[in-house]
Amino acid sequence: MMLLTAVAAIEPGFPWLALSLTTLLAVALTLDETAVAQTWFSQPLPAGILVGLVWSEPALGLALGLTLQFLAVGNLPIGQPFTGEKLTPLLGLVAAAAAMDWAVTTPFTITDPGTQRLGWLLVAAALGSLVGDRAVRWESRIHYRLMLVGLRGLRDGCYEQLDRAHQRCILTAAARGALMVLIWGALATWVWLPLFDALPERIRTALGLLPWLTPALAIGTLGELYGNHRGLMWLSGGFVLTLAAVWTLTGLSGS
Amino acid sequence: MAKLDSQCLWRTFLRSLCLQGSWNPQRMQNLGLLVSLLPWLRQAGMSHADGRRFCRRHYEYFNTNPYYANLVVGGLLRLEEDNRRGDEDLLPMVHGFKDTLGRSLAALGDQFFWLGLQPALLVLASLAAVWGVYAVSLGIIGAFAVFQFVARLKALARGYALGLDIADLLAAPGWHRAILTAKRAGAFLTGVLAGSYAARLDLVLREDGDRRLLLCAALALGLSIAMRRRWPGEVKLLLLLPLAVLMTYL
Repeated sequence: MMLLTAVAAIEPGFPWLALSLTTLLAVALTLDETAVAQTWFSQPLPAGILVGLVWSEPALGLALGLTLQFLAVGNLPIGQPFTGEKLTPLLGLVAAAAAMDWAVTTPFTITDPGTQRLGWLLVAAALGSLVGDRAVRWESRIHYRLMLVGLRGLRDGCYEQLDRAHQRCILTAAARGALMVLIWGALATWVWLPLFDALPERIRTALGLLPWLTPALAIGTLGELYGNHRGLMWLSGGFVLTLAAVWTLTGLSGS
Repeated sequence: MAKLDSQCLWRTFLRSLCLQGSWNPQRMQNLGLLVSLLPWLRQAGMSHADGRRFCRRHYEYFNTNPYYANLVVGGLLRLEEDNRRGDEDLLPMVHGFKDTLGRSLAALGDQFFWLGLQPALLVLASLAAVWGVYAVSLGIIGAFAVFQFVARLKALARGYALGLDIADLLAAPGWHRAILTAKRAGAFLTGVLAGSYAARLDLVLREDGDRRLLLCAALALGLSIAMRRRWPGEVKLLLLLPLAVLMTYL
């Protein structure tokens, strides 16, 4: 806290507190993803809302978190060569966008410049996730080496060595979370977000369509997941009931 | 019914939450499992040589679903405890017990959590967010967090109480009923999501009349089904960007 007060005195306008909280959130949620507890608060939707709340922009966090959640909903952590790492790009991008007062539109309402900006953030998060996947793999290799260190400690009859190896693995994950969120935040602030103004109009229009397509991707993936005979029956039931309810309510409010 | 003493129970429980903390591609959760068992080992007061043999036994490959892992952890502690008391030599069974139970619970956990409950709850939380009530989304995730903490604590106590009898627990029909219910809920909520999406598209198309949106949505749906779950959502989205650019020429 003293350190924060000191740096705040040097640069009064800089959001040090929000940045520190975002880094702490990145550490906590990176650990939650796999290493500790697995509560699902590290899923894109809740993580987006939480970082949005940190920056007093819950709508911004929700917009990016929700669209990313639709991309992630079918990406299940079993038997897959790719897991992705959406968390730190999401936190970094929301933090950068909030710090730069980047307004985005609530997803699935209209197509306007706010939706285009959301599409630009979404592309960055997708690219960041692909890059972050490599970082997760490197981290697993470090875990393997640390596990072997623990094994050597076992030969010496030292249980503490096992504890230390395990703690170091957890610290590695925590450090990855902190480092990656700062990198994504810096890249977004200095490179990605300013680049948006230089985009041709046609690309921007296409970006405005992207957030709209994420639910379709989720529905396709989940439809394939539950696509057996009985699953399709339940899926169709939910679809028909919802449409009937929406149209009845719209008709009632219209009349 | 056999019980772990409360101090050991809580220490083991807290450590078991970090079971995947040292996950590695070669032996997966082995270090996490051993670290979870250490509070019992320290309390048992084994000789140095026995302690080393204990660690060797549990440092082998181990992998299971993290939410059900405490049944194995509790069962292993009971097995070790019974062996230490010298009722019978149970050590030859440790490897088979750990391996068979770990695999069975991994299969059940994958079916229930990853293919049933997780997609269902996340779609529900997303629907709440689409309707603009993000506190409900956080509430759903929070409720799951509390549920899984309680379930993991109970699983540890239950695993210890049952010991080798956990195998009987696996035969209970409740597991399959729960999996079926979770998957049906997931399918139904996917239908609700599809209905909400169609209604939103309908509303927006009536307002601004951009028909490209409908074509793009149909393409995205088709692409997602055609590529199946082999491709992550990120890649699908990036593939859709050039398609969306092409759409702007229409």
